[in-house]
Amino acid sequence: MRATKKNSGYSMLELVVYVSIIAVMAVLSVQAMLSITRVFAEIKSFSSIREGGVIAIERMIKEIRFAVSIDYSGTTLGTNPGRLKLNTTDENGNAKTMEFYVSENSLNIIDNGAEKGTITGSSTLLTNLVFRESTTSKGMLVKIEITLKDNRATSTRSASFYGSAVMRGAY
Amino acid sequence: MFYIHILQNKNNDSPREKLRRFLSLKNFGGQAGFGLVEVVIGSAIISLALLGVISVASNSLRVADHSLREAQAGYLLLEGGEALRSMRDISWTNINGLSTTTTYYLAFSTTTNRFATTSANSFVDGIFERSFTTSDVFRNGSDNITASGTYDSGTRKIRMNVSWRERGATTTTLTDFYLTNI
Repeated sequence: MRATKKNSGYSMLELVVYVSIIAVMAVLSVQAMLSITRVFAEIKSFSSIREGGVIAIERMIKEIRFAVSIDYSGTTLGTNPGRLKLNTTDENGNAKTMEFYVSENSLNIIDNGAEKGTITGSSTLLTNLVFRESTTSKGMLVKIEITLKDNRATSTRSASFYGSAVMRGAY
Repeated sequence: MFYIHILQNKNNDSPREKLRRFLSLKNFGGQAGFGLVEVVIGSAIISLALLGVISVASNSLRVADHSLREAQAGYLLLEGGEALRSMRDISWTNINGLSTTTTYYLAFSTTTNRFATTSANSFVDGIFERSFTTSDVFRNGSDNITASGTYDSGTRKIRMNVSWRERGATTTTLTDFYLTNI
């Protein structure tokens, strides 16, 4: 028996085992890369919808709570796209108006006649905005329905936010 | 490496043996190289690391999904409170007349444009279940709310619940508040 014989390396079979292990690892790592890219896109879409929805509904609820009454001439109730014009007061107690409307699939604000631009980001599309009012003997409630969609063509994710606020200024 | 390996083959091996050596990953000039056990352990460590990365990715997706649902549920809770406030504004009996042992749900009628309580379970968007229960309020001699004392017919404690199914488990978010007769 020659000295080289006892240490003569691996057989074809062992090589096949190695190659298959490497193949499995390669598939796994490619899968990992792909899923991470996909997950990042998904997370971005979730968070842009959440952010847009929270900012829009938070602002509208705050303004409705401060408001005194609805200006019906500048308001569209019950249908999409809704428009809401509120009679409210500024920080010094002077009367002013506040308007919410949809333009180019985003929520826009007009503060006392001055265009203030959009408050929902460019990464979402506002697909539905409906205002409803509920009048009572003592006050008034405004109900908001808003649906935001991810603006990427490949994504169909959308979420609806529902909020209502009683006008504290109307009491 | 293989080239050197072949040159180093000074023994007159058979062609079969040469091929075997050629295909060998080990035994370069007496170097130990990697054994099967080392390769298996190494690949297991790398696979575990990759699995870790994948599980972090899927967990962060779950968290992002949850935070969107939680934001939606938060506004539904808030809306429930405002809806009951509005019903209170219509008439205090809308609140005071509710049973303290029944679970109620809220429904907005687009014909009357008002919120009303129902005993039928309703889902918002087919996802969120919003329900509430009420309980009586008692006050002590200094008019503070206590667990027992004099029954106050002009105040009700409300517990508003919003729950939804998420990956096989039910998540509930709730808030307690008082409504008074004004």
